[in-house]
Amino acid sequence: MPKTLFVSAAGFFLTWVFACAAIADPDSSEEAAKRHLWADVESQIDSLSLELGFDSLSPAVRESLREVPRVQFIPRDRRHLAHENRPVPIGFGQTISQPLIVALMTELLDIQPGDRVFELGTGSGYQAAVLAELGAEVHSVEIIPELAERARATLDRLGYENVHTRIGDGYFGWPEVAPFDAIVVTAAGDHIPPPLLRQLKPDGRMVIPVGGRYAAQKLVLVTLDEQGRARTREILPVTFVPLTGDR
Amino acid sequence: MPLYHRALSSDLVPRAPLASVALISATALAYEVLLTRIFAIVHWHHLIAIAISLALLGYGASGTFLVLAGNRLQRHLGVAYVVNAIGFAASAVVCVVLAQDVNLDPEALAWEPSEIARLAVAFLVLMVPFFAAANCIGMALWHFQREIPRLYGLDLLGAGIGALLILLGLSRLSPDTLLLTCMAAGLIAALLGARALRWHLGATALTSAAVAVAVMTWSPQLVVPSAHKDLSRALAVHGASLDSTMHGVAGSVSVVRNAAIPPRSAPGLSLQSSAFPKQEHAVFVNGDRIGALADYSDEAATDYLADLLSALPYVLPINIERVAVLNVGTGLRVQQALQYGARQVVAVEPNPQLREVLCTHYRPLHQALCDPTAVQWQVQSARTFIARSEERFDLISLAVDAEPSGLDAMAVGYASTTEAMSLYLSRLRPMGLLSLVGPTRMPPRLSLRLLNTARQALLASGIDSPSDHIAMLRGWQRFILVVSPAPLGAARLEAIRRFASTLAFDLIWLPDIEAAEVNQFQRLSAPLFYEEAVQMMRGSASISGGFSRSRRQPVTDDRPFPALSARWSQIVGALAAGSPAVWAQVDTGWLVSVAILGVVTVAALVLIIVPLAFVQLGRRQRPPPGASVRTLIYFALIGGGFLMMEIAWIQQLQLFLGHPVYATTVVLAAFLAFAGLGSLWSQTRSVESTHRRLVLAVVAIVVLGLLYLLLLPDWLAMLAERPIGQRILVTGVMLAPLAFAMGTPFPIALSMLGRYAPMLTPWAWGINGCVSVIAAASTPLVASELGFSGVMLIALTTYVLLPWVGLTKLRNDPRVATVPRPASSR
Repeated sequence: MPKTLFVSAAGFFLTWVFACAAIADPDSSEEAAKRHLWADVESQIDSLSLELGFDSLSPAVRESLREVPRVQFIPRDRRHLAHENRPVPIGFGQTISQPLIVALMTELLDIQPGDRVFELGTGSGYQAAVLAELGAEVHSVEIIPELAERARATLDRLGYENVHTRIGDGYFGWPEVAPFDAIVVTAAGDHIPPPLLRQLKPDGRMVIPVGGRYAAQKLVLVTLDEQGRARTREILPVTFVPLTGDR
Repeated sequence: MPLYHRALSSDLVPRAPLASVALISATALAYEVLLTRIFAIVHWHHLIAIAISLALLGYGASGTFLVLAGNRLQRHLGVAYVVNAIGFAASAVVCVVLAQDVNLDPEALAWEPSEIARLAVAFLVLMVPFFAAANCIGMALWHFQREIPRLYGLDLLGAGIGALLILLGLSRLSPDTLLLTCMAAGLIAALLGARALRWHLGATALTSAAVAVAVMTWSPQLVVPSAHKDLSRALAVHGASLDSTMHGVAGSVSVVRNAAIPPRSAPGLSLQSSAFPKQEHAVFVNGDRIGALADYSDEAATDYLADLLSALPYVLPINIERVAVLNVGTGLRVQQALQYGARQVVAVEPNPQLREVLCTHYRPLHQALCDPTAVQWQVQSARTFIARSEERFDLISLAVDAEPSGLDAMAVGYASTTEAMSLYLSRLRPMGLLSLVGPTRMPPRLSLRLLNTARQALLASGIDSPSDHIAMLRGWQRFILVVSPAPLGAARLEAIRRFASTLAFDLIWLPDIEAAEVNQFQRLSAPLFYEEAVQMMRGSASISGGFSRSRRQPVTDDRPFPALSARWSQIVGALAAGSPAVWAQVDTGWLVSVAILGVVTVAALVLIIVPLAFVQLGRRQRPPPGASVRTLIYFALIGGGFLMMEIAWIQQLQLFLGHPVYATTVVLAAFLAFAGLGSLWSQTRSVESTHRRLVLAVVAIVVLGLLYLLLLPDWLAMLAERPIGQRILVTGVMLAPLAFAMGTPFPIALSMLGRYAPMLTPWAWGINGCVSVIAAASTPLVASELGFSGVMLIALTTYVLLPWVGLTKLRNDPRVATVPRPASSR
């Protein structure tokens, strides 16, 4: 009798646990994962303050990163990786950037509401969405049609009307709406397109991640000096190499 | 017996499948070499050692399988042989396609554990064809013991012919066609086997035909670059189309055209430039992008050439009339030389398909490059050309490329070693210049290694103050290193500063450099390049240790890994210290090699040793005391030594033969053939003199090995100017005595075991196979640490130890004499 009682109790307990797990709010675990991810990013930025020149994200950038659902920009079969601080392949040999890199690039671009931004390489559309969340008017060009269409669909679904995308040659920027306050080049190739530099406003900022598809060697910030000559500053060299992507 | 009865009965008796074994052996070797090309196209590197390791794993696993299932297979020899031959044929194609479906992304290996599982799956899948081929050869040898010499001889002959045929095949046919040819050869071998073994020829023919049709209709394209390769990514771009593809021994060259989104390339273009190239065609070798074809028919389209970092030598106050451009690629530096008024340019390119692309298919784009009065083309490696050339140049220009992720860290390159730079310097006119351009990485790696290599070359050339002869600049992700046999002097230094300032390039090193003038345009948080260059130029005594020291090690012919920036000792040390920055220093290519070694080791233990242990340990027969340990050590030493020696030769002879495919094919064929002959010869000798013969063989191996180690570089340099056919012949002749001697210790000990401890024979094969597999995969890693001379010395040491193991003295051991001989021993 006690044995039967024990088995019944154990069965009830297990059923109860499974039932609780089944009816638990799925968002709560996702929210926790998101919180953990961005806390991790902030902690890394703090530890890199010497190289970066700043020790935390601005409130606006922090808010925009938390608002944009990264998971929506990742193919379904890899969405379990959405809240990890790592790049995720999105097909065609491309990746969605590591959250840390997106955070740093966004911070370095110093976006103000109403800024006009050009992005060379839409990829998943995630970076464009983060910039749009800050109030920028984003013009993004993608060279792979399937990626461009998928990104457009995601951006539309999430209501990012201030992101303008097109498929085509980004080498000449987007002359109709140039000059830009900020430019993000995620597909630089072996040189910075000269026409693109000419579309940067005198006090504008251009950010380029450089390195392999996953292992970025550095982030390069391009600015123009008083004579309009381009100068670069390499961020994150040597001591820390995060994993990045979007090319 | 009536005559017709005798004829009938002889027709029904199975004969040894001699022709079939020869054909399978030829195809297996050809397939092994073909895999190196497939690896290069699908992934990132030809991975010679891995292809060899795969083949050995298949052969080793087959040995264990035959030990376990041999008796059953003996009873059904016909069907077993034919099934394995057809299996070999089909799997040769199917496994390549399946391995690609695994979708391995080696660049993600550092952070994605599932990539190791993918690597293991791809590796095991590709082992299957070798397993099936080895089953056929093994079953034939086992069943027709009286025919062993003939079977063995034909096996070796087949391998030799296979090596020759794959060289011809690679020079003309696509990898897809070659794979299907391998399948066809395997199916013919099945038919020949069925005929010899008297097993249903009709059924075999029908099955073969069905397999051929099924495989050929299964996949339209068999070898496809992975989605991560440059070629795949270029073809995914809107408006891109594959314009042409050519196949040759040096690689498969593809040209992608895209007028909508041109694949522009201008490496080292100044940030101040407003000019840009006019290009619509990107060029790929084995799926890796090497550049773009510029349209120089429009004069304005050449303006950007003056704004490239590589234009530096032409703005210096020297008269540049005669230029040698090494590793031409897509011809950018040749056009640059012509643009600046060079009267005669020698364009040196080892890949004939690239010359064909430039000067046949796309000639209208750049007529000047193909004008024989201005440009003299030389289709050979940079080292071969420079060794043969007696001319003196005003400028020798070389581009050294490396993957940004370090995926090519284990790639061997002889064009930028200390020895190569010494040669280049000797071919310059007194005021001439050697110019090297390449990519910069963070932390500084290739750039500073080459700076130190140039310094060492100047010292080796008798120049006491090398720092006065070197200038180095960096621009957007590129560097240029300029070296002169004469001190650079004030006028040239002033011109360099003017060039750098105008185009916003940063100074890394000038003889009179000041700290205040560095790190101006492409700013780093600290002037790392300059600081390390200063340390280096002051001499090695002040160079700090750790990764920095490793990154600055000069590249030599003995350790020709220009893109490798970290060594075992530093990585292990940093990991042990828990340094978070360690992964920033580790090259992906090195990491992949370590992962492959891990996979190979586990696979060899699981597929070769574990099944053997499972069965053998359960058997009652016990070996004589001490024999087990001796067997283990002896056959492990042979397995390790043989493979280390073989792979070290393959890597080193790339310099002499000019290309990895030639080196792989010739060394594999020579080692197989001559070691096999040595083995056959040894089997004919009496067992009484085994130890004496072993000692003689070891003495021969060590003497020849040391002789080659000390004298070979000079000998080969003298012969470098010979045509490739003669160089292949010389290689074969040179390797013959060494391989012959290396082929004898294995059968010597095996015959001893057969007589005194036959229960250990399967172990001998298994241990030898297992260690061979691991040694093949580990040799490149060992070479990156100790150099190829270190690998050779380790291999020679393993042979020196053989007589000391005492296995060949087994019959003199009193404990052995007391063990009753099994009935099966001879």
